[in-house]
Amino acid sequence: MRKKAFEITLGIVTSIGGFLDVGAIATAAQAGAAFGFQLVWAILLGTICVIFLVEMSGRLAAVSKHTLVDALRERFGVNFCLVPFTAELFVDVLVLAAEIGGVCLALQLITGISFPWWALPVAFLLWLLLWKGTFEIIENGTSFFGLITLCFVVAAFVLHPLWKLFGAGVLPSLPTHDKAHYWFIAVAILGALISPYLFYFYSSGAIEDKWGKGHLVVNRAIAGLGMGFGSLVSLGVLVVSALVFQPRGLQVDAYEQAALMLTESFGYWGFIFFAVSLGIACFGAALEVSLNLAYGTAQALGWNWSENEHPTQDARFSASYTVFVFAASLLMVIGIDPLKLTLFTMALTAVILPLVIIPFLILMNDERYLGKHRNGWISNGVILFIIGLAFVLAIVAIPLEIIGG
Amino acid sequence: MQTATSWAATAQMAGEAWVRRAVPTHYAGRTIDTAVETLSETRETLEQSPSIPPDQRVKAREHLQNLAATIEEMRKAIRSGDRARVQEQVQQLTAQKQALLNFLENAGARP
Repeated sequence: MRKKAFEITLGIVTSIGGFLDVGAIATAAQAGAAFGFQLVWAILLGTICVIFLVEMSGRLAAVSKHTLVDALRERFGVNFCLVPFTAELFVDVLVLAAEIGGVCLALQLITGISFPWWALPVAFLLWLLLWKGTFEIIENGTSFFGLITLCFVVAAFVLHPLWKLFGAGVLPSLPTHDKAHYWFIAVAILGALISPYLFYFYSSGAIEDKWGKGHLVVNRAIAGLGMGFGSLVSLGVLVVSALVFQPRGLQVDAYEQAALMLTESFGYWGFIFFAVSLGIACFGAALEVSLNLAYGTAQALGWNWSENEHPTQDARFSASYTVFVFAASLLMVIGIDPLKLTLFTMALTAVILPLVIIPFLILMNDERYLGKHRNGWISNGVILFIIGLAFVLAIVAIPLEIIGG
Repeated sequence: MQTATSWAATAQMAGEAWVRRAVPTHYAGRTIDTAVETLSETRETLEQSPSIPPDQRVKAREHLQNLAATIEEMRKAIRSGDRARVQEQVQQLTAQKQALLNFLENAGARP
């Protein structure tokens, strides 16, 4: 009982610490600066969606002892599996590049040395941790450090927002200006929160941690409470941005601008908190995305895989993350704007969601994998809603990016 | 013009933060550099935009030039470490930004 409570606490704490990544920071900051509290609903909706998806992927792993990719390959065959996998692979490489870019920008803020110079050293450090570390170190270590991102929540309270206005943002409303930009940001927020890498990674993690049916309660608690509390950090970024930037007419077009958001509350420490939060959140996410890319490749192609094995035991798995990490870092070496890449990638994530989620729905209703633990009507209803939402987002995301991005 | 007012606000906020020693000099300098570049790009876009009436274009250009000149002065003051002069430029920038916003409102454009 005590062990289970510890596992739940640890899972919740690491979910909070690991919730924020480059996409969540960028989209929440842009939303707050441009539309105040009006896009709070998008963060809440995205959080509800991701809670359900993460819970399902954990349940699938705990009951069937299959990761999501493993089960997709087995259930639908390699050829079918390649379609969602290739789409996911492409987007994940871009997400990884954006996360590396976030770390590099954090280092630029602190040192003044331009971010492209940091890309290869950051990639090397990432690779070294992946090579030497175990799954536990990677999962828990960076997430504990990631608790520094709670400074956004503290700053939100320090700035005394009008909670009535915040409450009004919980319900979706039409924008009074910049309609295309509003919907583009809403799409990007949903794309940032409903990141397929999260639930793919979560199911691989559950297998690494040797979850069984006894972990279903732990899984539900981590998915619900961890992701729920984690979204408070995103809401904190939105609130601070709304209170600090919107009255000044400052739009967040670059991370340099976002770096000013905590200086009103904490002075010089606010600047440091922002840079460190950005760096740690993005580094943690980069580790997860790199691992997810290697997990996905190994599982789709039937190779050995485990972060807990020595690299010589699963050489192709280790070679995969090595290639992905350095390939993604090259996008930063050539100086692609990390914020633009982030927003483009978040919109692209929305485009590929139906490809990823529809097979997932079929799998979650398959008795051979989940027995009596297969989806009920609530989970199916939510996932159908997500598919509908993802489909609409897929249609509007790219045109909106051109018009409003 | 929205981008121009946003970067003017950024320069103003970065200048204020630098005066309060809330941001490092290299950060303030780089941010001001970006603000100068963005204002210059906005001016070029303005010159190439056929939909703006000539009289409004002249006034908009004037506002952008004023902002650019003040931010340029701020850049020099930050480089020389003169916080009092940056404080003056911040106040001037606040007034100029407000003038631009008033102009945009009168012209029927959203700032």
